[in-house]
Amino acid sequence: MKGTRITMAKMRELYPNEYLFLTDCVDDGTDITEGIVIAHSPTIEEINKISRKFKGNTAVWYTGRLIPEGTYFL
Amino acid sequence: MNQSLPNDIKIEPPIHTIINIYDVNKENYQRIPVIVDTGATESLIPPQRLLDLGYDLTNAPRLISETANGPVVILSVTVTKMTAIGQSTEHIRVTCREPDANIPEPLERMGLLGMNFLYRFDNLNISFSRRRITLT
Repeated sequence: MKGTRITMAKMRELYPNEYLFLTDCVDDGTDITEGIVIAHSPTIEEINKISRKFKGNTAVWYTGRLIPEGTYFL
Repeated sequence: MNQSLPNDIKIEPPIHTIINIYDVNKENYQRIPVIVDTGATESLIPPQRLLDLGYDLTNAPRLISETANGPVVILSVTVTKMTAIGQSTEHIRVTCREPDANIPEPLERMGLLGMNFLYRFDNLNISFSRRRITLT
């Protein structure tokens, strides 16, 4: 599915708890709703290696919970 | 792809939204998930995202920030343009941790939208019953 425009719901189904590098994203103000997946990885370090190479409308997005369940954020 | 910026956004606690940070030429931008934090004086961005956008962190002024976990060194960077909750502003200072700092993983994934952005606008309304946040 890399290189194809897909919904965030589909991204979460295909790449659960992974970091994505996305281009041509659309969002609803709270979450990205769709975009083109350029890369995916369980670690953000892998995504950070490529993220600087792309221009345009991009995002590094995590498909899991931003704050892990049971974690307090103060 | 451009899209209109909604200034009335559905929320769940903690209050997430998305900011767009533009690069040094205001031509490209990255979306970054953030938590709206009215207790933060500054907005905090993952350092790698600022590097992606071409900002120079090497010569950025270093400041000491008092946090819930004690003082930490932060870098101060003025970005060309930033949008959030349907509003846009230019030449605004953001902060980030040092790129080689030991950053907790959630703060590599997202940032904080602090008062330095919100204060540029007139009215921040958070309706918990409607689960909406608006900035005008």
